[in-house]
Amino acid sequence: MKEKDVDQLIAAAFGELSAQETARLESGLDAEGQATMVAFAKMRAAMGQLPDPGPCQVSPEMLRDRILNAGVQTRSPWALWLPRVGLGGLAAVLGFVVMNSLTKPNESPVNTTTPVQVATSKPAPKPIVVDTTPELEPAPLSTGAILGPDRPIGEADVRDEPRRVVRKVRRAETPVVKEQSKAVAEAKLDGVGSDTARGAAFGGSAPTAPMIAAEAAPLMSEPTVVIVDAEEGEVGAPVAIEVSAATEDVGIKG
Amino acid sequence: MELGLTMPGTTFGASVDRDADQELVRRAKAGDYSAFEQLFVRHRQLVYRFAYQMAPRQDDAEDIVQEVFVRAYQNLSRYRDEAKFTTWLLRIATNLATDKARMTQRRSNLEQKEAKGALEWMTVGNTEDANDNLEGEYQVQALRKALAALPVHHRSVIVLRDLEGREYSEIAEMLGCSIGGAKLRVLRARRALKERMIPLMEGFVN
Repeated sequence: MKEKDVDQLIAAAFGELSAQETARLESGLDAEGQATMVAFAKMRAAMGQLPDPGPCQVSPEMLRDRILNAGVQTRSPWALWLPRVGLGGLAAVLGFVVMNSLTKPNESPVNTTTPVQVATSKPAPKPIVVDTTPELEPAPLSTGAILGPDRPIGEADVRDEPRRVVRKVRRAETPVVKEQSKAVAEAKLDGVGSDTARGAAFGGSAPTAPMIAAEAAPLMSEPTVVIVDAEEGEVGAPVAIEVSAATEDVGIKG
Repeated sequence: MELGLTMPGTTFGASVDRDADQELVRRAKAGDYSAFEQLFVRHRQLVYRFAYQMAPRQDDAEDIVQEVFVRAYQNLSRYRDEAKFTTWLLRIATNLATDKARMTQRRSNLEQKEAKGALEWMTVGNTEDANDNLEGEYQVQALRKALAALPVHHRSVIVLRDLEGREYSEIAEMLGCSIGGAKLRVLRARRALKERMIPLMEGFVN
């Protein structure tokens, strides 16, 4: 028997077909079909004989207590819109991530078999010229002397070169400069800031441009350069030259 | 061949005045609790019959009834007038009964597993009660056993359509599917029920 025929039989057994359709279906049934229809009809009849469960014993008072115990609460506005905000935020984050991945595609993966060239042997395009004392005569100890005569500033190390000791150059202030700076600072602190006070700091004569003179005071005297051994830099790292233009320290490190 | 068939729903079907329901719902939404109590009194038996067929223990069925009306009260503002109030109630009842049946089945399986089958006669999986023995009607007993053994999604549509006599449009609304989908579900459930009843009926014949 076909599935569709069984469906028709079930519908007929449960009274969902019209009388004409049921009669036409019954007239064309074979023995198997009749047995199937009888089986469904018995099932349906048994459904009609199911006992009534009796009256419901739940009273309105019981329901009221249950409602009160359940703690019926109206939803606060927070509970209504907070999930929406959360969803919106999640969507924004996802959108950002997707846009980021589209605009910045992954670069080619790192090929570990090919050594990475940390530095090349070609010299730097142009040595960096550091000139921290433009108004003074050239100091006897130049940066070239620190780095060595045959190494231009900015040249990169390669990995197989020995470690280099990084030296730190400290330019100490002379006592004269210290006194001048102290006098200028006191003149500022006492609130007067008169030319007289500043003039006293510079030996009695008032400078035409006091503040400039105070800032340029270290340049007026010859700096004392102290070479101090500093700690070693990173092994094999490319040489980087950093010159601090601060008034106190000039550091060159690798 | 005379089968003596009648349209479903004549046994349990209750004619409910829809307009009266809507008026009571409107008052209940406005804060009139007595209107909600009237709704409860009008429809508790309908919900109880359905719950009893889904969870054939009286205490479970009554628990479902209370929970259905508690949820209905809590979510009354969400009820729209497009559906009948009874349809909405039965939808809540279907969901609750389905959840409860699954929990019961899971618990029963665990208990049987722990006791290695020794507790089969006393667990909630056994739906026979004292009334069954007194009824003496094998078909009805077989039907109840077969119903209890049905998966809950089959059982719910059988109860809604064949025991409660709900229209397909209502069932579709409760289940959130089309009318054709509801018809298909009912058809499959009837087939499954028959498959479970046949061995029981053969035992009776032999």
